[in-house]
Amino acid sequence: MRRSIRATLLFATALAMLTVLSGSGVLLYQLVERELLIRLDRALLDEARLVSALVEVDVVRVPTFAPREKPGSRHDDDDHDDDDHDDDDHDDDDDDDHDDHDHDHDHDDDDHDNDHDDDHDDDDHDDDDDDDDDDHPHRRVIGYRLETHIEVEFAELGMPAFAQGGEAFLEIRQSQRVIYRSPSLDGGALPEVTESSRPLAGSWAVLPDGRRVRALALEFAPRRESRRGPEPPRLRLVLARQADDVESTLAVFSTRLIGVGLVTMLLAGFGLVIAVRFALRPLDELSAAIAKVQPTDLSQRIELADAPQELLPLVARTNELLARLADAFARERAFSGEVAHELRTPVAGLRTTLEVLLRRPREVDEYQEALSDVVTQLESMGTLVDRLLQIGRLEAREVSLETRDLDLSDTVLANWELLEARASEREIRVTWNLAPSLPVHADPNLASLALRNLLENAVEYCDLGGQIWIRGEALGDGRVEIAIENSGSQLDPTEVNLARRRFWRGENARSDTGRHCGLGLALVDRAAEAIGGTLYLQSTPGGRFEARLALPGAKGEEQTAPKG
Amino acid sequence: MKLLLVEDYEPLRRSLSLGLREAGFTVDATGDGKEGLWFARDGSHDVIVLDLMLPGMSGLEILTTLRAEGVDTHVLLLTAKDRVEDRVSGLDAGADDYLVKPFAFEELLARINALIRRRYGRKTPLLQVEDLSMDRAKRAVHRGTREVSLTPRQFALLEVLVLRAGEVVPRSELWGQLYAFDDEPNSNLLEVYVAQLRRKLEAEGEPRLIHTYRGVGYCLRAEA
Repeated sequence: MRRSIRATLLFATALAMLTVLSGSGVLLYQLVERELLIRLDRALLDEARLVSALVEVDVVRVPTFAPREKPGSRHDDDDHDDDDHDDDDHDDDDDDDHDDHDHDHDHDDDDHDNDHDDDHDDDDHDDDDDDDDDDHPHRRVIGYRLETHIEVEFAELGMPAFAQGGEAFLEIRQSQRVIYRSPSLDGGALPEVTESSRPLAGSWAVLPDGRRVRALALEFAPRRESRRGPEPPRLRLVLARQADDVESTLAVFSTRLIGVGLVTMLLAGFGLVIAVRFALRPLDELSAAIAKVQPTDLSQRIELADAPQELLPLVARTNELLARLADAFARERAFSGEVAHELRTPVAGLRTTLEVLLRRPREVDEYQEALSDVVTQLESMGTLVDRLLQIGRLEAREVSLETRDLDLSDTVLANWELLEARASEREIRVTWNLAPSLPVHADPNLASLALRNLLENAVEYCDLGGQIWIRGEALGDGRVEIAIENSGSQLDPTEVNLARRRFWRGENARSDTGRHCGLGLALVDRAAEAIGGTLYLQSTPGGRFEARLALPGAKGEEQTAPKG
Repeated sequence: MKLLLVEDYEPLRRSLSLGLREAGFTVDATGDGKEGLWFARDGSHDVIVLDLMLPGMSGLEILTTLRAEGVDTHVLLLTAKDRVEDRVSGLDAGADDYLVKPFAFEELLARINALIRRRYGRKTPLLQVEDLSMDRAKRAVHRGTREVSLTPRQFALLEVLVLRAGEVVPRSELWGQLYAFDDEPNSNLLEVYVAQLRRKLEAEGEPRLIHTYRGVGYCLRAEA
């Protein structure tokens, strides 16, 4: 799968949006939940306080008898006085004395501190218990114990919520002992309420029957019935309420939150797709603009009206590339134009020569003259094609070089011998100043090609009866230089270096020989470059033209560099 | 008819000169641009055959200069460049025709003749004055039904007179038509040519067509 800016943008933005939306949704939900629960808890707390105010505790001193009598005869009046709520504990005790004792002991243990305090007061006066003592005159009272009577009066106050089937639940404990359970609990126990991090805050609990309730625990000191007597024990009250409305509110809220979030995502996603498409449209425009560029007209430039900043470098680089291409194409076109001219002109010459010749019957010598003319033209065309190919190969670096040490003096003389006839025909005098041995490190074919062209050039452009100077010497820097100079140059000094260009022809260069197509020096230049040499061209005011070819000296096998 | 040939490739220039001369034209030929401009300025040529790539001065420069100087000689461009832009730039510069090298010599002749016809405002190569008819394409001349055979120079001379029939053509202009620049005109050669023409045209006693205006020139018209 190809990487797509559009997909990346969409994905990243959608992800960010999802994160923000869900984060803020969760946050919002938590804030609302917290607020709702705080209110709920506050209501629970208020109710718990109210309930706690209704709990009344009476601490009763109960005499303890010596255990002489049969345990079964014992009867506690307290039980009758007690409220129904205490029944479950005390009614059971009636039948079983052991249990009763256990229960008493437990009771004592639980209220250890209180008992000790009370014990000191035992022997003295305690009016309330007198009646009890009187009921058992034959038994010896050996002490008193304290019994806590708790009265919860709210049933009468009309809090139907706590009645059977109600949605509010109450449990009161003294330490671990359950003192009271509301009928709504239906005998089941309220689960232990874990302490919340906030003081007096509620927490969620699950009833044995599976109902979820909000529960709140409150420790409190119950009201005393009378001001006398020991301090009543602290009680713990757990109030629980079904919180259906809060839960349903939260459920609705979360549903809406998710719904709104989804719709928002959907709308935003839609907008996003449009925005991304809109933002990326300049890319399409750019590609359309590039597509419009015709290879036949590279002068076109890409112009994007109000292109976005990000595309400006791309547009600029593309235009630079176009400019370079246009440049290369223009050069290529100029070259092919030059090639066309250079090849078409001799072809036109050949054709015209032959056509004119054939227009009427002619004398034999006329035919001979024309045919030898044709041969000359073909020779020059051959040279032209050779040079073109050589230059093309050299410029394309397609020439394989076999570089080795060789004597350049040899090469110069070998090539000169081929030109000697032409030179004497043009009555040219030659002055030699060539070292007997000029060891260079070069490709023999290219070195020979370069020198032959330089020598030919000198012979052709030298004036009739003029002079050529040929020098060869080792330079100080390890290179070897051949200098070829000819008189009669009509080259403008400012144009000297133009002569290296393909097809350049000096303004006054003669064209009547038909052998010069302006490629000679260009070829030498490319050949010299290919074998690591350099061509220097120089025009001197005395009408002399000098070409110097410097090549790298021999790598030093056996040959030693002679003095220049 | 007189042509100027400016072409720097020597074998081509030599063959063209030969062929055109053999076809009856008077030819000034040069391989140098500046020299070509110098020749062209005198305005005596009917057609200039101009190469585009020339040493000294390019064909286009010559053409532009000529047109700027008001020389409106018909110009046929010869060039090796065949791209549309090259042709357009040549025609835009004031050329009348265009021929891409290599070309057939016959086509060059036909185009030169077409330009000459345009110069003298005629669409056909057939010229007719009285009972003298002249087919410039076939280079044939008839007096009535009789065929008159002429040398190329005689034909060229008669052609000028026929093309400007009714006008008195000055001697100097006739000379210019007859001689290339490097020919050495003999002062009475024109009279000799005119006399030969008259003799051939009136061989069977036909009325005189070429009339002499002493000190001015000659006029071809029916006898008054």
